[in-house]
Amino acid sequence: MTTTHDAKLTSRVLWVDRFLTLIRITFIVVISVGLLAFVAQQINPQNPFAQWANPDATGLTAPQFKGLLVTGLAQGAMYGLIALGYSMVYGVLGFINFAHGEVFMVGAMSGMITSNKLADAGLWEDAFLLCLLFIVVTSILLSTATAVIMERVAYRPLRGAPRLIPLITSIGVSFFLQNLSVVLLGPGAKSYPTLPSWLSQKRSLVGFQIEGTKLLVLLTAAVSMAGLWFLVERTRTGKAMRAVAEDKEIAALMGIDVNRTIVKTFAVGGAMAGVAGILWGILFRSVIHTTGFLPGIKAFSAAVVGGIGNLGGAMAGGLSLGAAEATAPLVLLEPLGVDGVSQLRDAVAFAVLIFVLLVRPSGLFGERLSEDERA
Amino acid sequence: MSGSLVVVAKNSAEHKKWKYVQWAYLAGFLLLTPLVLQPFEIGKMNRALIMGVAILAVNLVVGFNGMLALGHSAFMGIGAFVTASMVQDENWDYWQVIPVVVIVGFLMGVIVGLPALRVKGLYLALVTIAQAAVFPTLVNIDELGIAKRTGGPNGKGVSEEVIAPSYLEWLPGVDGARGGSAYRYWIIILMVGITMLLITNYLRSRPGRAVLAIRDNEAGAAVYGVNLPIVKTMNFAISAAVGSLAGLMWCLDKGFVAGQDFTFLLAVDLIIGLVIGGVGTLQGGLVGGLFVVWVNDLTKRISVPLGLYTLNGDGPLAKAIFGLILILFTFFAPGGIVSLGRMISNKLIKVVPLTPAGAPIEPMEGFDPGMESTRADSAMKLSIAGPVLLGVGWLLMNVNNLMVGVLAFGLRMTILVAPVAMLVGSNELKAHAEGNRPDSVKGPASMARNLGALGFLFVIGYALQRFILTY
Repeated sequence: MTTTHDAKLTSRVLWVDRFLTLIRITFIVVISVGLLAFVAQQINPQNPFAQWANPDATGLTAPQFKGLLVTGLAQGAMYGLIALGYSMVYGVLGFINFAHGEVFMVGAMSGMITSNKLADAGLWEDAFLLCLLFIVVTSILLSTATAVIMERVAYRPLRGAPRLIPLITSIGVSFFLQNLSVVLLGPGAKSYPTLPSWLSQKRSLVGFQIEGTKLLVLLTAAVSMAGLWFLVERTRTGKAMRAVAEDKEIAALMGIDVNRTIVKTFAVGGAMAGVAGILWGILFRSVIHTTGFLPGIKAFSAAVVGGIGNLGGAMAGGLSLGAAEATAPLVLLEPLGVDGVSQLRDAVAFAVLIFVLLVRPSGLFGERLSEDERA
Repeated sequence: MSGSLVVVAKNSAEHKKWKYVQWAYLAGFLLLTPLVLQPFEIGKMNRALIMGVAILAVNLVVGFNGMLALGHSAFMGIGAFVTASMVQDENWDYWQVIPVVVIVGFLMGVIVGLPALRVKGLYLALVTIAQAAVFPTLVNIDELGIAKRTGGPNGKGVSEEVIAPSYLEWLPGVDGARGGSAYRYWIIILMVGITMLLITNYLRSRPGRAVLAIRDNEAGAAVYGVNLPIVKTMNFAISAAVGSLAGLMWCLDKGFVAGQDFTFLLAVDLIIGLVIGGVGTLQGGLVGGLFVVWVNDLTKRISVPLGLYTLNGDGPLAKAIFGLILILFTFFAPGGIVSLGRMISNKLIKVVPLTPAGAPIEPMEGFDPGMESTRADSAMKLSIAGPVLLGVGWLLMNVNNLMVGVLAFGLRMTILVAPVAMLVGSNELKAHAEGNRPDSVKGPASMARNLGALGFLFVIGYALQRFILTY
């Protein structure tokens, strides 16, 4: 019955599929021509294929490329951490929690306050690692609290409402948090104290010249991810979370407190966003109330790219999105003769999203959603 | 019948009378706007109408098709930039640009919507957010002559004004001090009206009904032979076309277009307007547009004296209050202002359908005398309330100039309730003459009629006086 229905549908929407195939092919052609041109450039900058579209293209040197890649990966690790929260909440409740970007912003802001206090007390330079631990812990506490209160106040009363309603509420919450931060902390960018020089200097690691900060970011992200993986896959709480994501009613029948588990999901997502906020502060050393917006959207894109509901996928999606947006403008687009490529970072990030939607709609690593959320 | 002031049968003479009253209110509101308001307020009215059209576009997707589209700011931007470029660089007329803008918007809608809608609803939300987030940076890139066309980061001014042709100078407010904005107001009203009409017809047509069917039950619609991807995509593309039309009106109204005007914040304003106006209602868009523009202005005015404003002049408090209002509305009035308005108008007048044979249904005939007398009583109270408020307002104005607001409120109350009281009163009197009412009804009913008529005359006189004063 279903198969005939599907067959009929596909036979009727042929021109749609042709059109989509056309878009897919265009994407793939652009990517492969750009890559070929890049490779040709690397072999010999004077070769005609490298210069057909853009005679002035100089090509990247290997250290430049590696530098871009590491920057992209560090940023991608941050996206990945934020994406975990989006992915988990989507897996459990089936809506996009727009305010999650603001939870990340709260984390970054709390880190800004505590680190500046510590710097005033003169502890920042002397005992950096201890200070870092302290600001990470406070940031986790604050952003977890934000996420949990948000769930309790804004989302729990709307459980069971049409899916549009909590989504719009989350936009409201996001507005509220952003502007509350302006009211409390004032508008304008605020900066983190300078990092100790031993951290920010470059050091070489298996052929890569990596700044200590980026190394720290990648390490922290890896540790958090490992902790999350342990929590979700190896503990009772994690088992309950997975069960609730799979089917809330059956989970409740099995004696799982669904509301508690949802709160825990929000809390864990909030904690990850808090860590990501600190990493943002360390990487860019500047926070403003709109900080959460663009990373938030990109992180959700990363969650979709990796396969929504899939935690490993969220992290991998974040890393690949970060790497792509850092390297693709210069690797793919410059040999194609596009000017002003560095302005195109955000556009490239979303082009990656659309490409993945076209080629593998369920994400690179497959989505893990329950039946009723797979609408 | 519980609680309704008036009950009329559908399509009866009385019902028609009420319909005329409603249309008269609308016409009066539209006519008085350019006369009574200051030029900058007319400008805000124009903004509200434009936002209304854009919200209507979002509503086509979100409210009528059940898909989530959050990026219509980008379509508005596309429409505005195409218009600016055509009018400024190619010396086209605004009217000539309309078909171009609609076609461009439609094509953009197909391109954006097709990959996303083919997969599932959530992805449309994501792709449209991305589109709204990227758009402001896309108009600045130097590739393909885009920056030359759009003016890049500096934005693009359109020097050509819409000038009132001499045969349109009879329109209220067009000549005189508020000429420019009033004339633009009339053009925008015309475009809004045509758009509303077309969308109403579209929703009643075969594809429109397919769109509604998809919202109500996707699988069911597919079983009945609705081609899901194509109907969804076409609906999204039509909505994108309407969105770009709103962009054209924006350009026409402001005369200046810049990438920073079409950020995600605008998209969020559209969503807020949609929810507060009423999801899935045709009037909701316009109500939401009015709300977004005027309340934004109000909260800004509140927050500036408190010292809470950011560099771009938007109060953070304003946006925080907006966020709160949005949350409160989703909790307590998920149907938006339109559903609240329907609730109130159901209290005033209830339209009951006729039986298939065309006869009025029973309760219309078998009257409950006790209830009928309360109906005349409440009409009398209504007819007194307006003038009393007017008088109190007048007194307070003489005591203290700050109390002018009460007078204005009384005036508005009178405008709203006087015709209702008048009509209810005369109806009750007629029923009494036919022997359908006890004698106790006569007193309050005639008072309601007379006072209501007085109030109505007063309002008309006031409007005439304003009209004469402005000319």
